[in-house]
Amino acid sequence: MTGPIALVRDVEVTQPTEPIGPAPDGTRPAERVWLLVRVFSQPLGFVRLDLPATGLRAETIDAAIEDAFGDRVRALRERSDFLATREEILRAAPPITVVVCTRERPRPLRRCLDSLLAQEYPGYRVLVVDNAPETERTHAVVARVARRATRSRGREVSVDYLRVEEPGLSIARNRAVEHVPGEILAWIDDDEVADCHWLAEVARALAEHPRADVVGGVVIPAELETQAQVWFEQFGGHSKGRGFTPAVFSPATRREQSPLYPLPPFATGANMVFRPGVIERIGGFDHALGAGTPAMGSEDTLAFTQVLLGGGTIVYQPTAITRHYHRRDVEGLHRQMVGYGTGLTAAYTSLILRRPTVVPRLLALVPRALRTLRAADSARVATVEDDFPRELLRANQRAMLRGPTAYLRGLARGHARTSLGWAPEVLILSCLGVLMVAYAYAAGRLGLPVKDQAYWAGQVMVFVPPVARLLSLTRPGARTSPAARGEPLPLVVGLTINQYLLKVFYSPDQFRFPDELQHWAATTTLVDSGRLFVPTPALPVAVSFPGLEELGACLVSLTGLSVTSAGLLVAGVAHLAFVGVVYLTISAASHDPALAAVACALYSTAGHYLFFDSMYLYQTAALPFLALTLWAFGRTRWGNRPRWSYAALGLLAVLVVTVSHHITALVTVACLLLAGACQMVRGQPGWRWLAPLPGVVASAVVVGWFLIVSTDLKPYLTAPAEQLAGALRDILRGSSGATAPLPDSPGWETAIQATGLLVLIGFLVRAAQLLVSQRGWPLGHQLVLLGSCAYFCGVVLRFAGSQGPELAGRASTFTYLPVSLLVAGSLVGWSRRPAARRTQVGAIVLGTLLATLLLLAGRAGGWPPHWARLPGEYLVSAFERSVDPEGTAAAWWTREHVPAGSRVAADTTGLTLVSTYGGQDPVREAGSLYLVSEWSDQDARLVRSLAIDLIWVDTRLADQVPQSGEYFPQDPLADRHTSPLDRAALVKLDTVERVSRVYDSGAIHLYDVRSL
Amino acid sequence: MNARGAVGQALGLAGAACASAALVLYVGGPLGALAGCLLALVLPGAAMVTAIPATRVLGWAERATLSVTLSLGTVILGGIALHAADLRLTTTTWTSLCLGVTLAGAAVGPLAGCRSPLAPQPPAGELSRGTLGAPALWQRLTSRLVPLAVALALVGVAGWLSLASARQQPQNPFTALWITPTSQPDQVTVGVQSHETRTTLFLVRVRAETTAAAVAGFQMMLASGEQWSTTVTVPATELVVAELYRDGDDSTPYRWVELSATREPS
Repeated sequence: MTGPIALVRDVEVTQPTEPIGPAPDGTRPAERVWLLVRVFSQPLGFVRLDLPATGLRAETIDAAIEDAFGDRVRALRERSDFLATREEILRAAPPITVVVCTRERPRPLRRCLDSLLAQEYPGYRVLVVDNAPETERTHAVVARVARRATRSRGREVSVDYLRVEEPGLSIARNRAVEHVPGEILAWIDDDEVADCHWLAEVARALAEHPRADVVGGVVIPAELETQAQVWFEQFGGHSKGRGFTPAVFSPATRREQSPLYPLPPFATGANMVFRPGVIERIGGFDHALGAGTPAMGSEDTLAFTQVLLGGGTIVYQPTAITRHYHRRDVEGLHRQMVGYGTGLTAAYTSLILRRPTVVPRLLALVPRALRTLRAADSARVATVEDDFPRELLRANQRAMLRGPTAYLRGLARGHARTSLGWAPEVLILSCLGVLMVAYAYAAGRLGLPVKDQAYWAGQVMVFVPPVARLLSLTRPGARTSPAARGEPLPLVVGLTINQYLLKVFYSPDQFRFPDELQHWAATTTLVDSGRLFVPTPALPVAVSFPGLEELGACLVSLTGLSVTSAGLLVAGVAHLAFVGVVYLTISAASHDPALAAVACALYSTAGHYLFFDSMYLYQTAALPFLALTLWAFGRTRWGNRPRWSYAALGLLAVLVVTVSHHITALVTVACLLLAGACQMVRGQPGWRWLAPLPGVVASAVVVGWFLIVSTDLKPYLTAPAEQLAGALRDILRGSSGATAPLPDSPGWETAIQATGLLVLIGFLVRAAQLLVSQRGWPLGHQLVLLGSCAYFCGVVLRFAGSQGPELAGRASTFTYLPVSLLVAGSLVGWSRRPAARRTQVGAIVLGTLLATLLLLAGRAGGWPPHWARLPGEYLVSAFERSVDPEGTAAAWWTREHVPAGSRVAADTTGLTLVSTYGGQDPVREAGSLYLVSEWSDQDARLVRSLAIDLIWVDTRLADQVPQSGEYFPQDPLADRHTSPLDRAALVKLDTVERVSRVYDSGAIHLYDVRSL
Repeated sequence: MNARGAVGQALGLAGAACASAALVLYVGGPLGALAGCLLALVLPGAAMVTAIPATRVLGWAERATLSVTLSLGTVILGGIALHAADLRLTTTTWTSLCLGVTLAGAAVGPLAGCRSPLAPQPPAGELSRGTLGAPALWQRLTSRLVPLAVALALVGVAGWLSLASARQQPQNPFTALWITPTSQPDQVTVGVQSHETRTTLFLVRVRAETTAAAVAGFQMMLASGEQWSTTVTVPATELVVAELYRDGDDSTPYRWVELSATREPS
């Protein structure tokens, strides 16, 4: 059988009946004919007739109609006011918006829209919701139909287009509701056509039932050409066998028809009308139901149930007719039957979750439901004929079992679609990593097992989940989702906070790093004195850059917190602000939040990021304003009409960075000058002559501050610079003594650092290749490549002299930013390539692995060094690991018992403690006093020439070689110590005349040498 | 945001700033600390964001980030301005600075919003996007608060672990003995501070170099962290030695310090 199974025809009994002839080729046109009998267009029902090869004569048809509806036809013909009332209703017809949700089905859509343009109704609007479009075909169809509507019906009809990127029928429906608030909404599917009186009959129902919240029309088959379409009708079709008898469902009819079972006898989403505000009242259509979700349907069913449970009224109006093109093949029908089953129980699941109070009523209905499922004469299967595939019924029932899980999966997907997406859950995993690292720290302090394993596993755990999620958000399919816009920043913020916590938990009770202690001391001075620019011996140059101390002192004053607690808070907030503004800057420049987030995450793999960049240092306070300067001046739009408020914001940021940190201020100026010069050369004509202005102004501000306020800056900066230059010169001359010794890290750490460096070089080379091959690279890309080269120059610095590693690390704070952007661009580019899903997943996995490799390389080669990576027992000259209660107690003792500002000689740790906790003036040039076992006149002369008042001796220097390579700031044997200091050299002062040992705590002795 | 919204926002900021300032100045405690954080780290920047026309068109993420960053900038530049005005940086002046900037920003905000051609004005009555079909309240709470609570719990446990282990970290016990001159040449101050793991019996003997007999002797029980000191009269022209013994062992000094005869007064 290749012809249609059945013909579907309308028969208007007030008109002469037309016969149904044979097919043009003389064959049988169909096996059967379904005749919709109408009186003055009012439908009475279907008459189904066998269709012989010769066709059906008019008399035969009339006789069949007489048999089926004779009495009703006669009655209606004699005293029907059906048409008169319709005319009356149309005179006061309310405006209606017809909504058609569609996705990539232009042909059925055009057919549907044609039927809507043919409505015999004055003044209505058609809104086509294009859901998650992949092409512009739908838009093109709507544009053509809209033009035609304007030509044919003028202002009477308008056809509008609404694009909704998020997939899902419920989402599309809800966006439509939000788009046209306060209007009557009539819904029709794109695979339907509307009867020309559809809207008029809807208006009739609304007029006759003023309390109706919802009107449901009848959906009849538009064709029954295939067996699958006929079987679908046998199963009840869209109208579930309700037929053509009007009905009203309201609280008053609950006894006759429960609003909870059987579902759904009320109406169907393919032909439903809601009064204004009703959909809003029930909270909209459930996003976890409907086409495009695992539940596959029933968003309409749940909506009707909610209306009824809320005391609303639904009117079934069978005169409002739409015609549906059922699925033509059995596979499609199978999917639909599965969808009905899944959707039904999914809707119940949703209902239970939304209204747990319905559970007892539902339980009471369970026996009836089970009977119906088993009964052969239930409403659903009563019309099923023998040839109906029983497998379809079984598939429908099996699918019901999957409904609850399908709904929960839909909820999860919807959760992923919300603005925060999976960020909270991903960050929980990251927090688990924080816990693991905290355990590693505790294990280091208390000597517990598996501390190293916990440390590295925790580091990876903190980093990998957010990075993997960020990379997954860059997939082509995920880019348009709300999560792709809303999730990156929370993930970046969460990752930043968690990594900052790794730093805080290392030493939660006090600052231990020397620079932090110095700023702690400066802040304490500010809190005590209430004055800025009060000299502090610990770090004199910081006095003229008081930004950080102001923040700390302000917070101490306003909160009552200790300087340490306030400092930790200030450093954390400033660090978070820095990363946040970097994110904004990259996001604004690239218009790509996911790229910005991946770049920020990769930046956290820098060696100094974890500790140094978030310590309580003046650089930490300045960094956010470096980023803010670039962000603000970047938005000023030089080359176009400048936006002066952004320029003002940029200038404000320049001022803040200038008074906060010298090097950051210089970097800011350099960045602005470079960007200004490039924009002037390559920017758009217009206002571009203004482009260098920010750099020039910033230079003037910074130089002015340096000359007027920070007069002692020059020697502070030139000393290490000269030292570095000398070391570089020596390296170029081939002197091996100038190179810094390689760190004695474990072999695997060295290997992973080397691999990480090779990976970065690989990215750089690839980017350079692209730059050469594609001459049209934007200016920004070239600047990123240039900045990345600066990072690799910094890597070379690492091998220059004893200061090299520290300076290289500090430089990476700035130079690793373009590297991060370069690598992020490559990783995001991989995952965005159009490819099979498997390939995309592979790209994400590979990107995550490479990012993890960079993290491990950064942590292995960064701060703290491997011997101080975990807290633990005291180590000699090991920065954080050298600060212990005995040293701290001695330093506090000097504050209480020695005049402030006394000059104290000590080893590196002692100098830090005594200049901060002790408030004394550190003498850094007295290392030679500790090296020889005999006291000499030369030592005495040195003491006198340096005006030393007190000598701090830590006898533990005789127990270990220095971890950092130096016992003293100016150690003549730096990096060449092969054995600990001679104990006799440390205790020799016990026997020197006129030297008093005034303090003894066992390991630490303080000697008063003022009488020498 | 329309003009009415801008005024409401400005009033909200001003109210929050005044309340925070009052809590800082007159209440203190944890509530005052919280208010202080708000006043120093959030409110001035938030008010500036509303006052700067260009920033009014930014998204919530940008506004939040800028609010914090500009608050930091306000404190830094404001502190220097206060110093230039010869004002001491105290609780009162810091509070006044943050409150003043917030109130000024809040006052300028609505005016800037009215003038700004950049501020978008959505059509009146339009529903906010994406509110329909959102999960029920309990679902929202579950999906947002539960992960947040779990994350906070994990971080809290990590913090507790870190702090507790830092406090319990085994340290080498020690006790410090010191001697310092006073303004009187025949008097010195001798002190002991115990950092032993338990309460310990100490004996301090002070003697002059030339005399074997002790000038003075003292016994004390000190718990960990406790300190003892006293002034002792000694021969003005001799080396003075102080020795510390513990746990009844009076033969081997546990610590010793000395002050030379040519000592200089502190």
